[in-house]
Amino acid sequence: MIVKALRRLFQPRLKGLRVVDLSAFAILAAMAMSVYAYKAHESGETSQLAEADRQIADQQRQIRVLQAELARLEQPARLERLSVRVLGLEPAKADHETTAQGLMEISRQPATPIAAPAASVDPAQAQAGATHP
Amino acid sequence: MSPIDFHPPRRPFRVSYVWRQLIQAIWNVERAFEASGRAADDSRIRLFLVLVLFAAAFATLAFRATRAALWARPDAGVHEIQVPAGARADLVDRDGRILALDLTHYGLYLDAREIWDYDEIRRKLPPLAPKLTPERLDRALKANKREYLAGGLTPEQHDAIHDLGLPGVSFEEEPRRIYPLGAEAEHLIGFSDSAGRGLAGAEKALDNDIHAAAGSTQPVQLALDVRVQAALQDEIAKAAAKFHLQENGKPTGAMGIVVNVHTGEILALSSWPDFDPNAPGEADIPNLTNHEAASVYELGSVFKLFTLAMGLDAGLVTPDTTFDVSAPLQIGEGKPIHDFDKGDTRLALWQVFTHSSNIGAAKLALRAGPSLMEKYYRAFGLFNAAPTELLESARPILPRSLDETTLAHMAFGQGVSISPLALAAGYTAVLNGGTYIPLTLKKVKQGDRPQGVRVISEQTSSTMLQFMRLNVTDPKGSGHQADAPGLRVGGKTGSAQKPDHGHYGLNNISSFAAIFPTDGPISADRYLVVITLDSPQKTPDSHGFITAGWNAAPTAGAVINRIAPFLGVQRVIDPGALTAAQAKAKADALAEGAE
Repeated sequence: MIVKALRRLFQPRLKGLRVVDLSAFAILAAMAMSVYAYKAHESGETSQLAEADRQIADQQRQIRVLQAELARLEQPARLERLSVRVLGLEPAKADHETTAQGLMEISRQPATPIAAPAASVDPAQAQAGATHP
Repeated sequence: MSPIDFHPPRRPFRVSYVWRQLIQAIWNVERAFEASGRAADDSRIRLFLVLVLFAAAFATLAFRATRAALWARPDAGVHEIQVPAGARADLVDRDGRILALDLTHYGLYLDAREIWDYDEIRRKLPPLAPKLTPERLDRALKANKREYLAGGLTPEQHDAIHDLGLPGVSFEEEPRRIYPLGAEAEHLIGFSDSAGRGLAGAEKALDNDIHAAAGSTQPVQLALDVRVQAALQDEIAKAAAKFHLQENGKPTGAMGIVVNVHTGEILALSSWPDFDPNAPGEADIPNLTNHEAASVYELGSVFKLFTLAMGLDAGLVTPDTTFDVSAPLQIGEGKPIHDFDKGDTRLALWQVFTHSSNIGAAKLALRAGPSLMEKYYRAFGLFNAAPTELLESARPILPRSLDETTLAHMAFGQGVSISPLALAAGYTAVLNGGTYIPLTLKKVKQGDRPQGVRVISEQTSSTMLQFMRLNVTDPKGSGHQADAPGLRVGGKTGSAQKPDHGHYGLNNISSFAAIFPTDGPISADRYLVVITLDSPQKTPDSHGFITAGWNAAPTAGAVINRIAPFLGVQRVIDPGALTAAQAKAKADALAEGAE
């Protein structure tokens, strides 16, 4: 039974060539073409992936450089130097420190006006200030 | 077998069960053919069987090939990240601020065989590669192979050279250790070499941990607090300038450390003069030394804390036990032991501490005897190198024997030289409730407290805390200049004459060991600050003194004043307490009296 079916499958010919051979060749060619197409597509995607990996590595390197730069810029000693030199600040004195609860007490105390030192007032500025309410 | 043949002897060939079954099956088929006796059918069936076998083999291959080509995952087989040799993990402080990290730099290479315009290379390359010398470039241009030109190019320098598009120029990545804080906490952080080996500080001490963590996203975390470090280092540098720390025209040293007494964490460590760990080769050799850990000194009266703690803990004395200090103490034929004259004749034990009486401390040591002194001093870690991860931790210089003269002098810190780090470890044990714990560079998990070894009772520790506070608040106490408003500071001074060519010279090693806050239960959070100044000079601010009360003590006070907010220590201002101006007036009056 099986042998007969196989014979029927192998007997048909087209211009002297077995149809089953031609079919197998066609399937083979189709498979080769599809594999080629898939591989070509995959190759494109792989190169895109590699490019993305390279960009990620570059970005990570830049992030590391920025982290190092940030650590350098944020170092307390540098900030303190700049605060003193540029802004004229200094560490808070003990009597300038208070707790959150202490703030309420301070707000209840009457404000004591601080008189500006006379020598530090520029007469020209004082005059200009007087004309602008 | 040859005597140098290292291959193991071959095992005798054993036919496996499957293999035997297969051979048996083939023979069965063969015998079936022979039994049939039809030669034509025999050949055809044999060919058919071979065809089936080949078809099965090709079908398997085709299936596997198709599967591999169409459905294979691109990242299959990649299971772990490749970590470059010598790579090191980031070092961060207790709040995650970066202290050290690897940054990709580039090595510059040149292959002269690919170059046709040498002048272009000579003209364009050197301005963009500062480390490239003309001699090296000439040598590379004459060579008939790829030559290394310069290393350590930053990414910017790499991009600038790459954009020139010069033929024969190529790069290779090389990791490089960067210390963004520069000359800050450099003795604690340390540095490593270009091969990624730690050479000093935490970089050397934690070398294995740092290598093991490389490639993971987890940094190695230190106990260091950069904010506390900045304040300590700044005040140390100011003290070095203010008190002209020098000997024979050369800078000596100033050291400081801040420790959490319950965890043993080193929150800050400074050793002046400083250096930049990004270029350690350019620093003066003495500056590379971590004097806090690697140098030993006779530290003077700061040792009285240990002597008195021993006396109290062993039950030899109580806080009210009195000592006659009216006359110098003469032991044998040696030099008599004197006190700094404050007009004292009889002192209670706590006054021996606050008046820093050498005579009182020496008498207590003589009462204790050598075995008790050695037992307690050894328990306080004074006879060994401080047990920290820092490999620089120096061994002490100890006396050859503990005779009476040696005991008496050891009681106030003469005749034994230890590192300031070992002193800090000993103070930690006395003031944390009485347990000796190794100081550590690593951050201890929140809420954890190392077990430690009990060396004195909690009661003794509590009493010593009170003595420390009294030494700052007592008008005749030597540590009043360390008082920071509202921070309940306690402390002990130590002014030891510095040996010079076999004799005690004119310069001092001035130390101040401070603890704050001194109130609250013994288990309350507490911090130790130890300042050590090598050879401070007289200044108008110090009223002509070079003793620790006038230089190391105010330095410690200034440090505490600045770091308390970072450590969460609240000020408790007593309305009846002296203002800073009043305290200064009192100090000036005391100084005039002393003169």
